[in-house]
Amino acid sequence: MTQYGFYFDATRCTGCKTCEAACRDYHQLKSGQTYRHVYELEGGNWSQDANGCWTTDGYTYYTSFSCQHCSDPACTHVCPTGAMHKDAETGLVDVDDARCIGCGYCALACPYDNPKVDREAGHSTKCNGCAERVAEGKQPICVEACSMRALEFAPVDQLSGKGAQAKVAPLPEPSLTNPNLFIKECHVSQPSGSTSCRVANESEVR
Amino acid sequence: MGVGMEHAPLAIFTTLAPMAAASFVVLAYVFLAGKPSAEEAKRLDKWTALPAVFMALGMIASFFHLANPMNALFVFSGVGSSPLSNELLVTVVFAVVALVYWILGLAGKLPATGGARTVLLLVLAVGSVLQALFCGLAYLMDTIPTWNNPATVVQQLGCAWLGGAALGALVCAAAKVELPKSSKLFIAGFGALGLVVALVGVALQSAGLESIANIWGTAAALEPQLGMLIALFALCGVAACALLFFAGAAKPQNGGAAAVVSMSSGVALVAVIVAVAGILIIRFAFYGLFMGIAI
Repeated sequence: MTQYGFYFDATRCTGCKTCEAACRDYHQLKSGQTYRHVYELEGGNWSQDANGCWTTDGYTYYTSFSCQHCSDPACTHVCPTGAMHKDAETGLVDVDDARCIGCGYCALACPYDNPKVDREAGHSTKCNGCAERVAEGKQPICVEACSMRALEFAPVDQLSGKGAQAKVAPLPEPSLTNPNLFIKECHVSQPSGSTSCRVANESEVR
Repeated sequence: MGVGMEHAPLAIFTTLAPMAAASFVVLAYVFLAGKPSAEEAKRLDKWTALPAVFMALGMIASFFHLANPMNALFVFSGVGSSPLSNELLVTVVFAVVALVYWILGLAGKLPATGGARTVLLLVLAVGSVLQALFCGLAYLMDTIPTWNNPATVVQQLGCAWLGGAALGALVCAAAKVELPKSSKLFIAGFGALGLVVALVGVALQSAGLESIANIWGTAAALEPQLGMLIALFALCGVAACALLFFAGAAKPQNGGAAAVVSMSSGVALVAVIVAVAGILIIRFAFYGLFMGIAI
């Protein structure tokens, strides 16, 4: 198996959310539904020195992520039917609609908030890494749409040298699921689990 | 309550199915300690319909949680790996054994005491504990820190015993059987033990909430009304246990030589309603404490 994964360059991302929009458009997602998230994290404070001069160490950075197609996925482990599975050739995680019962166990377990139950469709839905495009030798639509070239998609052995396995806030510790997302952190990136920053675009992503 | 209400079918399932299972502990006690007459055994078998109905209602409720129940048979393919598959397997096996017991009883194939009845009731009593344990284990996931705690299993077991005591008492009351004098204490004590165990589980879970946080805030802020919900559960539990104790009225037997107890159907029914209300409250509170480890 050749495990595929994503690479995200936080030093390039401007938070334009074109990746999100392209994904929603290409997969014809319903209003309110998204497979890719762009979180805007901000933090820092103002302080006054002895001369009365105010300075700030305020910061903002972006983290764009979808399904990490983890090597040890929480969603497939808890799935009672085996509908949530890893593709034997690419390692991409996808839903077998014909087996899924829409119990939502995958949605509860995923620490990246990716699978969601579409009750109308009768099964879970999630980012499948644009598997059909990948099979044609193309890039996932989010990667192709990124004007800043902040996203890449490739076999993980080509990505792991570019950045560390994702361990920035708001993402969880990678030891949980062994995600196939590699991130080049920017100088203000906060570590996983940090609560010193806050999500500035909560109403967009939550 | 956010996620709590979204999981209403699961709250109903985890309330009704475990209490239906645990009611067989009371039935086991009644048949083993009470030595009912053949006529009484027949009436008890008839009213074993009540746990069967509760179990069926619980399972039907769980189906409402699914987006596609037509694929439900696939759930057994995850046995051994998925905690949900394990929970459903244990529940289905329990329900099948209980159904066999009930059908054999109705058909007059079980003796009033001893033999196959004792074996089946002991299997069901032990099975009811396993059913509650597996119900709780289904929620232990290391990506959900608020649930990933043995307290989750403990409170599920306690709720099963509280509800099971009330439902078992209702079966005995409806069947109009004369119970041994100790039954007042056994049934109310079983319920009270369940209440205490459940409260210990709830307290252990609540105590850890302050130290759990994700990017959105602390787990302690998830349910500002949690204290009130726990108090309501405790109040319902105490009321149910008190009703169970006072539902049994002692009356002289054979000229006053020894006392037996008969249960009041009305009081036992109120105990069941109050117990179900309390357990539902604490189950909704549990689901409302869902929190992802990061986002």
